[in-house]
Amino acid sequence: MSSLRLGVVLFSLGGPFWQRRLDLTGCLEAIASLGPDQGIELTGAQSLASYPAVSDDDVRAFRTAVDRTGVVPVSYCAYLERARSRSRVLTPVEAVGQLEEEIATARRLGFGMVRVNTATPEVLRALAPLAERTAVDLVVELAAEPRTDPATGALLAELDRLACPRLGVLQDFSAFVRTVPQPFLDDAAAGGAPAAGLEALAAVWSAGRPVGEAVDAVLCLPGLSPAERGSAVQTAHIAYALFPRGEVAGLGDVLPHLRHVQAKFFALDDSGTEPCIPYAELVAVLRDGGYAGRVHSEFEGHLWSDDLDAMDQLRRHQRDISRLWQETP
Amino acid sequence: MACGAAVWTGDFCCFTAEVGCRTTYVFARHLVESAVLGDGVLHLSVRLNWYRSLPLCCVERLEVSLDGVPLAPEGTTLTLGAGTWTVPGLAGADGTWWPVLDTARVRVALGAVPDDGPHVVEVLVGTRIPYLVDRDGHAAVIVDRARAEVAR
Repeated sequence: MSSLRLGVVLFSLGGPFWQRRLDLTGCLEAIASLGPDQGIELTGAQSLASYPAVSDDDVRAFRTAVDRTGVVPVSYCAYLERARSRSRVLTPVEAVGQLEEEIATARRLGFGMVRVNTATPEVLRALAPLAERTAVDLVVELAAEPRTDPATGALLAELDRLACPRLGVLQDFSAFVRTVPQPFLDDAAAGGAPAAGLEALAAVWSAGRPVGEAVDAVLCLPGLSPAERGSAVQTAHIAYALFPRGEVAGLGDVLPHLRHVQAKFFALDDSGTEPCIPYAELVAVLRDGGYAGRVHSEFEGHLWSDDLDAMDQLRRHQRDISRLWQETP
Repeated sequence: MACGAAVWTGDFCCFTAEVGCRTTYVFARHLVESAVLGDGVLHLSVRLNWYRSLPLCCVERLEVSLDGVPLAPEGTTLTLGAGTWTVPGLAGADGTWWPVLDTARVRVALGAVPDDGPHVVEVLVGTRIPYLVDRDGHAAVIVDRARAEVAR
């Protein structure tokens, strides 16, 4: 069994960061307080004030904070932004050119791995020479898994064919959601969605039925105003877009190309476990499959609630992953 | 200072229970940081409704109403740093970015001097997310709304 190496996606502290209660240095200090050898994953567009033309001052401040806190720069999050201009949407391959600047920034900051948010097989063929030329590892984020998403399967097949040692994938555990997260539903209710509508859409989602049936279930409810119906229908569409119901076995299919894991979670329960994602099964697949990369906690509940303490959530989440990793197969 | 369902900052009041929200409650609740109603001019401090910086041209919608009456977009400007744009002019602001932690100053010219007393301001920000593009080539536009009460 390989040893487990932990870390944090800085997006996890996006709530206090957006509200200016923590700056980047403060985020790194907080993460370092979780324990030794904490990996970090940083999005330049979120964390760096001078982005996209990242200044030497920002780079110097980051590297100084890294040296002082002992956190380990692991992965820099870059994006293919096809719609930067309002006048024309780029093709996916055309957008690959944007990564040159992102890779240069990642290297200046000390990251050896760059995450690309999405790709097609054609994009992978463009990424291979870029990774070789720039000597960074380019990993494509998977928001689904191959057993339920053919496009993900096509990416893995192309990676097999390319056999490029600097290309791989990053698995986001949000691909394996089992229940619509309660903070998401609470937030929708606060925004005006009726409780009956939320219950109806969550039930259809949990039954594995398509979004059209969730919409129908909402529209059949008596006594809702047009605004309430609209809000619930909108929530249904967002829920289906955000929370895919992947099969745990699909993670095993990904393992040969898996370089990094974003362990997404929404809100831990009283026992310290994320109730919406089958962590015990997922961690077992990683451990028993010989996965040797890092597992970075990614807390997303801050998007829907100001009341969840991100650092408390991260601390308990890492404790839970460590416990699961140590369990006897 | 909290006052029931509203959060007060000086003369600015955000009714959290009435905030409309397309994506997350958090962005909508903090969308408008301040609102000041002067003689013929409304001044707003507005945050970007996303978790990361975006090109300024991604702001596809910036709509303000006072007491339910939409205010003319040609009389609305947005200032970030040393630059100022009209709402229609934002479409061409490809080379400028809105840093996620920066507050934009929005100035809205009013047709007439408002009466003394409380008024309700509604703000809508619609932002194109340049990396969320569907199979047909359409980018997602995230819309958040906030309502505030200003005293004059």
